[in-house]
Amino acid sequence: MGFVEVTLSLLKGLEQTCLIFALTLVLALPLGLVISFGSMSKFKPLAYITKFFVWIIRGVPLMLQVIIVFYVPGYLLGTPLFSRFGSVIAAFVINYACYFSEIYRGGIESISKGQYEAGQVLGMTKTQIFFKVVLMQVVKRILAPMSNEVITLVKDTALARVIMIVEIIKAAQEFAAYGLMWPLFYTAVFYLIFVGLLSLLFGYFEKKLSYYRV
Amino acid sequence: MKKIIALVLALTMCAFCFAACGKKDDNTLVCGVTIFENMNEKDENGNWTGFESEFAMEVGKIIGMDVSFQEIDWEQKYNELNSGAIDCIWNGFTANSSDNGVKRSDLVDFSYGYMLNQQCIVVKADNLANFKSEADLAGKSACAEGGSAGAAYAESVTDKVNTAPAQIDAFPEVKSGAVDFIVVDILLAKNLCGNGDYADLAIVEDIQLASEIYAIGFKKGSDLTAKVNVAIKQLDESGKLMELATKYGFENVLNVSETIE
Repeated sequence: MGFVEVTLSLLKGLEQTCLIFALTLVLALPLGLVISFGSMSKFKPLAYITKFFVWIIRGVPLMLQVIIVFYVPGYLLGTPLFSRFGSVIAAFVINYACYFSEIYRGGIESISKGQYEAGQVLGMTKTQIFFKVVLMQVVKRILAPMSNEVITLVKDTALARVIMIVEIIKAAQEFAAYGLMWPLFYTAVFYLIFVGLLSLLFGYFEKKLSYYRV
Repeated sequence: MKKIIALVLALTMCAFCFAACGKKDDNTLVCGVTIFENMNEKDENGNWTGFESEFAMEVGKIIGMDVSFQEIDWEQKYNELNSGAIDCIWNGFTANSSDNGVKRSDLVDFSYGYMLNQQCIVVKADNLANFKSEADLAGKSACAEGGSAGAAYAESVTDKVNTAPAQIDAFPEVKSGAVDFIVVDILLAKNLCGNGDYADLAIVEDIQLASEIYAIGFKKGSDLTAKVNVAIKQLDESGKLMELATKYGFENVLNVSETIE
């Protein structure tokens, strides 16, 4: 097995890794905001239910959630509800949305009341105040904790292999099974580059958003 | 903002398409497999080859179903089967064995047996002198595929047993020295030991284990069992099965039998 052959095979695995990463991020970011509204709701029962849900999702290992989403509907209905990939996306999106929701909540609650009052004085509606005044400042504040979660997500994609998604680690393990160990260690390079690029990107965003420092 | 919402909705729809199009249709026989030399393996183009892959495709032709192969974690085989993610376990599945004391024939419906097998002990070649009888295995560390007949045997002789997701994953364990011996199917071991990256591994000939029979496992009550049995019989009588076995070097162990005990 040559270096080129192994790299090509791993790149195929990386494609799955990237797909899980991108889809999870795109779907979980807005869903997290919705969940954070739920947990901050003035209607108490909704807030309690949401917080209970977040507790369940954050309290159960993601690996177990992936297994549950894939196998349990099959046991109940006789045939799986989602494909393997669909199950991974469903489990990842729900899990990450819950983590994101708490980061959003922290960000939103850190915005001072004065900002809302200023919006009201200017005659803005509630929605306008939230999206045009508050959310913009929240984004600035939560960038660092978000970058943490996003980087964790890159590495959590490896969990997809429990239901046999051939992501990069699984692709490397197929070589390891035949006594070729180095491709497995070689995957670290891909992860490091991936996370390195993300770190640079987040650094860039932080710089761009560092106006109005007080 | 509207654009962003539209984009998110579009992506959600894409995700659901992914989820939906992966659902299997009723006319495909999905076989749960692990990579097994000369039985189920992929060629460089990603097509499935090996005795069992070709066997399954021949059976598919007779019963009029498309055949696809899904790699599984062997330890999850019953979950895969009972949740409907796969239709059968067709991967050197030892029929006359037990899992946690429950007979496998009580867990799944078996087809006719089609091949004889034996578990064997594999060690590092330069360590061979230390393995002369079953008593030498006691206290040694072992590895076998989780949920396999080999794992059941390993647990009966030593208390230090690690499990691997597939038989093929047990070999790096013994090669790297992480465990002293592994228990795997002799058909697989004969193909791997002494070749290529596993040139330094050897089968312990002095310890002989009981013989086993391979069969295909179906969900309890599945109507596929009878259909596949008819096809196996037909392939056996036409000589096609022997032709496939000879192609992959299994002609001496091919043995179609209607009972699996």
